[in-house]
Amino acid sequence: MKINDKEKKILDGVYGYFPQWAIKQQIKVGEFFDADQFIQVSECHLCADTESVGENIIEELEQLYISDNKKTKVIIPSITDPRGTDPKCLEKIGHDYQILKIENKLSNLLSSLGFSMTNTCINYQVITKPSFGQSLAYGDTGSVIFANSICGARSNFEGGPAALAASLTGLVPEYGFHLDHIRQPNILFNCELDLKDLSDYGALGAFIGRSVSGYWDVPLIKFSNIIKPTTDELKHLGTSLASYGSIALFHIDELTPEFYDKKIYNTNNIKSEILVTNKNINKIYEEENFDGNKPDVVVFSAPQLSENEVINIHQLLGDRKLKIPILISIPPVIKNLFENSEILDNMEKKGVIIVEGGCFYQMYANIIRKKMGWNNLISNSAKLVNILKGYGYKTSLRTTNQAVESAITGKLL
Amino acid sequence: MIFGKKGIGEKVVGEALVANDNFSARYDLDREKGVFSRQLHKLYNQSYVNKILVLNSAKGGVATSWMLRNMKLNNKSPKALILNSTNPIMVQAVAFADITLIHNFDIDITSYFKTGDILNINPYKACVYKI
Repeated sequence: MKINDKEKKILDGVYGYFPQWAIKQQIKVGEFFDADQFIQVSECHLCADTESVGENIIEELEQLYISDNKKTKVIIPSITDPRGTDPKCLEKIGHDYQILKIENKLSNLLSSLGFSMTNTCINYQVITKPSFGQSLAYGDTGSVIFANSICGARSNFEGGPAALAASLTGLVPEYGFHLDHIRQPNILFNCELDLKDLSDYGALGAFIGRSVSGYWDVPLIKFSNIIKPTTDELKHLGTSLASYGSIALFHIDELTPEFYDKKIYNTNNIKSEILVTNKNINKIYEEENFDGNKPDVVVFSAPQLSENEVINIHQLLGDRKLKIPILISIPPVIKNLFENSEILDNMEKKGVIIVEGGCFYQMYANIIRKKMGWNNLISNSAKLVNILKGYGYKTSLRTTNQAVESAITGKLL
Repeated sequence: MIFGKKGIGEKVVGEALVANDNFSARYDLDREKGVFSRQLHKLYNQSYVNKILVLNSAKGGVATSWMLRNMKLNNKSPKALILNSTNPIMVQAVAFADITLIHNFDIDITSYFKTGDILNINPYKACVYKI
């Protein structure tokens, strides 16, 4: 892998230990993937919830920061994914002050490094929408797949240490989805189905995700009928594809921007075609379903909710009370949007737990399950029902309306 | 001896834990107990600590990139990973954690080796053999 004079200086430690640590990691990864060189990126999105990072690593990172006399700063605009807890609702989610202490330690370090604590996984929706062709170092898989597919920007999955490295060097190795030929579709999904709810888009993502062989597959999705999906629907499709299939890029015929880019849209590489019907989607619902009919909690999260999603749940609730709790997670920006509205207050009065700046699975989900006794969980997020199985939950995928009605009746509908 | 693509990390020798299934630290593991915790995983309830994991593919989200190093610092990590295919997250993770990874063989690696085999991995020469 070629490195230029500036990069050599970073590698030699001219700019400090922390950037040197960063570029060493990046060179290892670049050489593994046969990258020829580095490219500049204009924005970093860092996934660093404390459950994943852990205290040992936080201390290692602090030591690197101290070894540079606390002078190291990010050199490109850098923002954060959801945090590991919300100090305003510790008791409601079974968290204690030890968790908060670890969270504060990491948040303070990231703030000192110059990160904007946006604490959101839907940055493309509520902070800055990436532009076509923009080179990025995004962390959250949902952010990456949305930026790549819906915006036509360019990023690989940059896991926590890799995104942190990119924030300090302003660079990433040029491989994977930074290259035109890797972005070409190679598997076609002909969809003859009706998608009505966010969960339907998630279920489609689950089916396609299970049908591909991993990160390097690029699905091309063709719908037999004209669809005009909302940003939230595309968000759920993308997060589910990334969750079930480790997919970082998909194209939709006549819809996503690279469909109109001749360098990218080329069906010569299509190796197989798969028909998707309502039967496939219904089977996902059947499989993502716990036994019995007694849910403990309904969670709307993963991805965090937009303004429209919050308003929709509020409307579905009406004046009714809950038999089991609903938990929603929203970015701080969305919380601020409702500052002069009664919507969030009304929801909290009905028993809805509103987590600001967190996302359920990134918040020590195992501790929440044990402390709150929430074993059977309903969500409209295919990603969430998939990911939480590793934390011992029994999960059911339901439409948004069914999930709300389940919370009101206390039964799995 | 079989050859894959040039890997990452140091040469290692260890006992294989093999399954035709995928791998994600967040989705599949109880990292405190050091066992696979996803009930549908083919290695459910089995300990991965200090084993050479031989699996199909890296999957899931970005958390693995932190988690593998955390597991290593807590002496709860696998010794190495041998995968049919991998993704950037897993490579970033092993680069950060200093864990050996090799991938991309001409054969299905999960049907070639068996649990309990003692394997020698040389990531620089891109090769693995059973002792």
